[in-house]
Amino acid sequence: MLRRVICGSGVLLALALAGGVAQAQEPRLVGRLSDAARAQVDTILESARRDGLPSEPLVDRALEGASKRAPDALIVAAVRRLVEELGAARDALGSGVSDAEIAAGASALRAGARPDDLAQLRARRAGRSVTVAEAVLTDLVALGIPPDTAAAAVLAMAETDDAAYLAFRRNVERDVALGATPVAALMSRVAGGETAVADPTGRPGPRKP
Amino acid sequence: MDGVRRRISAAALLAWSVGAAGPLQAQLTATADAGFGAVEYEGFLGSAALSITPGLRYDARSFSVAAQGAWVLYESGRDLLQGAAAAAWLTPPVGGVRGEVSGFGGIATYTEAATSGYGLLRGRLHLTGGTSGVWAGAGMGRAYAGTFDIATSELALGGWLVRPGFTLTTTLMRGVGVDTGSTRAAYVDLMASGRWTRGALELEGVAGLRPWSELGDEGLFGDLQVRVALTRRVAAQVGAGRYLTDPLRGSVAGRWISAGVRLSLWSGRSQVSTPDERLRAAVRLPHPLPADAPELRLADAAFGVRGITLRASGARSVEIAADFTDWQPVRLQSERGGEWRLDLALAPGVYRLNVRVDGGPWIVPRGATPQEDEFGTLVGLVIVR
Repeated sequence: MLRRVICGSGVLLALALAGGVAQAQEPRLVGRLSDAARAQVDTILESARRDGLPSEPLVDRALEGASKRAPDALIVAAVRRLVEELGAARDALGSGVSDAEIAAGASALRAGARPDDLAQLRARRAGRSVTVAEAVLTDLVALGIPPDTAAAAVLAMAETDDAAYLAFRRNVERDVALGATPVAALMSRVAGGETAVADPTGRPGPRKP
Repeated sequence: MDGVRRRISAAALLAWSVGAAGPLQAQLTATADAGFGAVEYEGFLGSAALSITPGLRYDARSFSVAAQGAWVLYESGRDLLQGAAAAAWLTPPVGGVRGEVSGFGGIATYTEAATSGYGLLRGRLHLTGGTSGVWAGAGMGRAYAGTFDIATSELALGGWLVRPGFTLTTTLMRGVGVDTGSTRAAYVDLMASGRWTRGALELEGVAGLRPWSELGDEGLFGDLQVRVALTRRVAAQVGAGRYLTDPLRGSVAGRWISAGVRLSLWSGRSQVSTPDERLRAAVRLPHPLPADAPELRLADAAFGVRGITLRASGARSVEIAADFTDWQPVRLQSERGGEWRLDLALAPGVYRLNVRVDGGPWIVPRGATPQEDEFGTLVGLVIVR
């Protein structure tokens, strides 16, 4: 009986290990990356999963690099950098956040937001997703708005819903399209009452021309 | 570029024609300005600026053309290079009525930024009465800067008055800018410009009011310049002013103060530049997109599925590679009106993507925010709620 139990446990352990090995080798990377690059990325993925970080963005980044025929070293470096950003985002946001929130937070950190910005955003939007707010922050910076200014505006809107965030971002983009500088567009929308504060910066302002 | 517009306008040309002792003679004028001042563009900190501005102008009885360049070096070490040209033609008078066709355009590049430019064609009808006149007209053109391409138009009414040593023009204008996404911004400007000369002294200025604007930038604007001729070919000048966002030229609001000298290289009468146009900022965008990039839109469909639509008129194939396709090219389905569509179930978040048309290069579509990726190319960001 004991022998059967031990044998059974051995089978279960073998199955578990086999499953673990199968999980560690991301099938979507097969044929897309060189064996050497894939081995390194798989190691990073395994580490991320162990740490409770979302692995999907890492796979996406590796596949993006492969799609763009980037050298192995660049792909591995991009994935490694992203896992660090995901970790920083998760640490800033705290427990109980979704993979999408962590991934969007990593994008915001990449754009130049500070971990404290994410922490404040999470605190001010308790019980509500911060995914779209983080995404809008990332997008505003990509539009040319300094990260600290964009972060302040997004934080000032923390009480609003996702639709308001997207409308705000759309209006800023529209103003830029019609001739305003990104900062001026953002400030005019802030002054226009789309955020709850009159001056969202309170930090270093725009730069010299 | 208000200076070019103001000086090249038929109203001013008429005013000079009537105000001069006789019919305006053909005249070539070449000048070079050098100045030092301070500028504060909306959205930027104030900065000292050094400018050099050559200008060329040719006036005939019914025709005038002007061109100028400008190089502005800012305190930061960044610089602005721009050029502008304008031309106006007046028909012979018929019973006190004259027609005018004019056009102006310009191009500007700012350090590490997208090139911006504009052009406007204008038609006007003038009713002249000796030392004064009124006019009405319309114009249309385009302004672009990096990703953005804006169709512009204007409707305007005006009048002018000439007295010895003094000219005054007034304008009421409604301008409209519409971008490729059909987003529209209209505004109304009421302004008066005047020029007064006595001996070696010349005063020139603009006073204006923008009482209504969909850009939310209503307010006063204006400038004043004082010029003193030191010799026949050298004049000293100082000036200061404030101007508002100008969608017709893609320029942002700002204010300036400057002092400098003007060298008259050829002839000595007309001027084609003012400090405000020398110091006016170009629109700066972080990553320009091709003007013909397809336009992406995200729409909700049934059961949480998102419809990704790309408008690419005349395309034979449109593909997308993105986080949600495992970065494998996926061909979109052709629909009516040059639109291509793909329906997907997408969770909220930020997605990275590129598209290509007819097997060409992978690019960022309009409607996605361009960002540098880690692989030396641009990737587009889209937000899904």
